[in-house]
Amino acid sequence: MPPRPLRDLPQRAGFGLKPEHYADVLAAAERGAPPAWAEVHPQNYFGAGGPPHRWLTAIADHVPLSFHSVGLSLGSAAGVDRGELESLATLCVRYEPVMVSDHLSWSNAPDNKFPDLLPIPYSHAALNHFVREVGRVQDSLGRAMLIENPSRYLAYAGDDWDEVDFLHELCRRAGCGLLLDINNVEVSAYNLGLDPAPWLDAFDLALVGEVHVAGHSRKADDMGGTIAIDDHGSPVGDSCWDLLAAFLVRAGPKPVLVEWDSDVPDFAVLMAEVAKADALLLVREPVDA
Amino acid sequence: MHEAQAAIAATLLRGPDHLPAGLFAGDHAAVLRGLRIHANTISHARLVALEDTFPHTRDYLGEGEFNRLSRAFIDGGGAQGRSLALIGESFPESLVDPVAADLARVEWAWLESYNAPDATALTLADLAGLDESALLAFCVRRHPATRVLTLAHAAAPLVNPAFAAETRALMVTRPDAAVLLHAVLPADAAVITMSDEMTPLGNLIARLAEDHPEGGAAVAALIAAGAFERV
Repeated sequence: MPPRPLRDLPQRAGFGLKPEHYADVLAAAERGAPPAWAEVHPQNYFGAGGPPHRWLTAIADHVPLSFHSVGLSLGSAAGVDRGELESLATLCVRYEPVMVSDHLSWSNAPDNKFPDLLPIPYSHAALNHFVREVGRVQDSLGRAMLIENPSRYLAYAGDDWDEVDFLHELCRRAGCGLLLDINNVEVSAYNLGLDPAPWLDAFDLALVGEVHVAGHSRKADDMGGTIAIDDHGSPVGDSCWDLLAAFLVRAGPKPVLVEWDSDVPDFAVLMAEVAKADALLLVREPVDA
Repeated sequence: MHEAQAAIAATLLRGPDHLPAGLFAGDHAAVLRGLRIHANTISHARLVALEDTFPHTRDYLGEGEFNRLSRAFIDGGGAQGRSLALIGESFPESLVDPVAADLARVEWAWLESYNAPDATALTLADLAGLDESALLAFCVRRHPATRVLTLAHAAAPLVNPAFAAETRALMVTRPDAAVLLHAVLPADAAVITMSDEMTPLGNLIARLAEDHPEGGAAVAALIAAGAFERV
């Protein structure tokens, strides 16, 4: 794949933009203190017009945007969802987001669109598939994108690669970058019985264009086990903050996003989480400084 | 990948008997635990999308009944092949209660209007300088955010208590940022449908003169409501 440069988000903490906070974001901007950057799910703006676009247009005048897609279904055997890709490309022309990303997962079966990020095998065939489909998206958008490591509740038997090596090879061959979700590493490590610290240490820092942190829950079930659930419905956990801090020591500043998608709190509560991430970022000198 | 994804899809839709042995690593309980998380995520996302799309219908039916009907709709395949944004498109047709069905159709029309393309609405002031012949020849087109629907039952007061129970047609407009609901007559709805294509205002006025109790002058209320696009 011909290399395409990734654009750079601010090396500050951003937040996931929700309709509940539109007015708060604009009020902060009018006070001269807009958030450093915001991430949106572009699927929420696939409608042709109306209030969502009025708000996003106004916010984009003050706040750099990252588009975090949840609908391309890159890993589906039939290939990327062409309708979603067309809508995403149209939206990118309209808003010119600094960053575009999606997931290492699949959602579409031939007769079904599952609103979830389903697991892929880390096989040679899957790698070839992802290289082709990520390339297709990047060609359509005319830009490089980031691919996010998944939250895993299952591991395929007989994988050819471990997750980090799979992602590194994908980046090398497709010319994309990594969206490193630290909460996802923590969730996956818990569910698969692994240690998240060495998992994180294995990532190639140069490939990481954006970092996510979030809260997750743990649930006991009637089969006598406990599972970590990536529900983004609570503050970032202490252990996730610790992993972020350790990562930033190694990596230096990176754009860090606080995700909070369910039981969305007041804007002030969310901004307090963003401030925590910023506090960790501001004590880190750029690695090339 | 085709076979594995087909097996996982079948498992999510019809249960773990469809999961091939050895596809996933780990003990059986751990695999079932993981699959259950995915199945719950999918079900929850679809149910929440229906709740968010049809709040008045949910209030009318009650939370328990709405949830039961939503699950039946999803289990019956109504959500298959649709993104969350479009999951409710055929939900109204699945409702047996005629008032709930009308109510859900109104809410779907509201959502369509909310997300419709932006366009400048024609106003009465735009027509102020035209003489009669120019006015009759002036072509109009339905605003892209305008929807009309006829009601078979007394659903209108459930979306707005100010609407009479006898209301048999509603018009949804979004001339600016806000989505507006208007109680109209079937004759109003008919001329809005006529204006799907560019149509001289005179044709709409003539149709209203035949069918509307206020005659051709009724077109003024439609224009004031933002029903047409300034072309």
